[in-house]
Amino acid sequence: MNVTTEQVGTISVVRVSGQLDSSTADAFSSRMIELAKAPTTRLVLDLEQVAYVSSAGLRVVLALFKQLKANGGALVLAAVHPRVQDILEIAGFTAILPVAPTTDAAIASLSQTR
Amino acid sequence: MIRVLLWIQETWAAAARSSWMATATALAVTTGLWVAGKGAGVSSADLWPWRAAVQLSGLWAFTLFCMAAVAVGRSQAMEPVFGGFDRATRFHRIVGPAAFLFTIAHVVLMVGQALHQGQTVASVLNPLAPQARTIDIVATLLIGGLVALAFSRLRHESWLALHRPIAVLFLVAAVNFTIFESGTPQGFEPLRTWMILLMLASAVALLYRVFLFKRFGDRYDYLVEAVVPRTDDTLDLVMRPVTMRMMYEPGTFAFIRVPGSDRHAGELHPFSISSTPVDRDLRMSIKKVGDFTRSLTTLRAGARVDVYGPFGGFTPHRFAHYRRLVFIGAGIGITPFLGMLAFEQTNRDFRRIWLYYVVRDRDHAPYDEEIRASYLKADSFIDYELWETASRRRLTAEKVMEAVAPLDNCAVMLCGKPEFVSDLTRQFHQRGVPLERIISEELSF
Repeated sequence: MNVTTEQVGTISVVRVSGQLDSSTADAFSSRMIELAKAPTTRLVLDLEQVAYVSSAGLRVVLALFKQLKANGGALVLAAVHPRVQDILEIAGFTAILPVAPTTDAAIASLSQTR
Repeated sequence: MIRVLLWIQETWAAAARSSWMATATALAVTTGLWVAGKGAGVSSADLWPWRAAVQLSGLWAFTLFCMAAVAVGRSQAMEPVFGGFDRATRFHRIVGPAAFLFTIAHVVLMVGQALHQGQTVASVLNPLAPQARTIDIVATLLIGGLVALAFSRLRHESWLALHRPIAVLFLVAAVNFTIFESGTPQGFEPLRTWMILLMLASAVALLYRVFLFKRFGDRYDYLVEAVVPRTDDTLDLVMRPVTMRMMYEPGTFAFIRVPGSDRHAGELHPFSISSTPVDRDLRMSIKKVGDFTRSLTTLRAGARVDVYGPFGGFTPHRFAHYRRLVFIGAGIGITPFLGMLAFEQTNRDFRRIWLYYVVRDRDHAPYDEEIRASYLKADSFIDYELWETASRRRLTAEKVMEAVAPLDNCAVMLCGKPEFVSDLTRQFHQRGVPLERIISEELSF
């Protein structure tokens, strides 16, 4: 799994590639916790290059969403791979987590929230 | 209107897949051929009110007996017809007694017919009476006696052993009235052929189960690795393959035989598999409820165990199109879910699962720790709840729906005692879950 972070204005864009499963979830979680510590962090999680997310990965994403929300921040998932989109729907996460079709759309939606 | 059509479609789909459709078809064929025989003029005089009922009750008893026998032939080839051997056994438990009830009805109707014709009861029931159908009468009386014996308190193995002479007597009577006695079956060739086919199918099933299964069934040699006590009445039997491993789906079960056992060497007993097929070792989690299961505690490491299987359709892969599943295991009924849960850590197949382990209290939950240690590692997203009935009373479909709702596109898998399974099945069905999405395994055979 590879994670890169880019700052677009006040919004952090995290691009993930590879698989987000039990073997990578801990490392991913550590990276995300650092980002989410700052108050009012607004974060776009680009999942275009992630073809599989297991429950361990989902739990990290869910924990990240809750932490950001508690700190006054926000999270939007972007460009979600169709297979991962299926997983989100099966898990019932699409009702909780905001999903945007592209990274630009996610940035635009977060820009409007400030 | 659309809801009614959907209900008809789902009900039809469930029925079409079940062994009940096969049974209804077999009964319809038997009845149809009997009617055709009468239409062709074979023994068609004085049919009403007694003769038709006598003949049809006898033919239906025989047809149901054949279906019941085929169901428990232990042939893996027949599992798809019945939806797994566990379901076939449940089917047998309903159809077998039904066959016997039709046999009783047959005899009662024959007595009625005899009295109606001014004859004595003895003319029907006395095998030595003039013109008596001696073989049929003797076989029927013996069947009645053996069934009565089966209802007395017997050891499970003795109860099972009684089935064999009952089946043989049924076949003897069937051969006699189909081939040797005059009447519609003998006089109308299509019906006779149909009955011979049914007879052959049940005879083959019986032969395979009694004589051939132990020798030719899929058998794997295992050695005991460990017998691990989990509670006072629960143990894990861990076995290691000698040569070839048995490949199985999580949630299935297998029969085991312990050739070195003093008292139980020839006995086969079914147990759910609680290990994952990924593991080399095979684990069965067993509740000590009888002589055989209690004797397992004395097994030493290295003891030989013959494993026959796998059997059963209680596996989520059989219902791959359901991505949202509710697993409910009561007591030792958690066993098949342990295998599924362990397999979930490696199968890379994402599902949404709600797992309930229903126990009296924490002291009666020997697998709670194991589940807690593994469910978060699963590929599927699993919510786990230990449901203690001592403090929370019984788990109901309503309680499950509070967590899972809506239950649309969900399948429910239930395992436990028959009364637990049937009660929750009824509750889920009443709340709109179609029967085809309620998959159950009863721990009682």
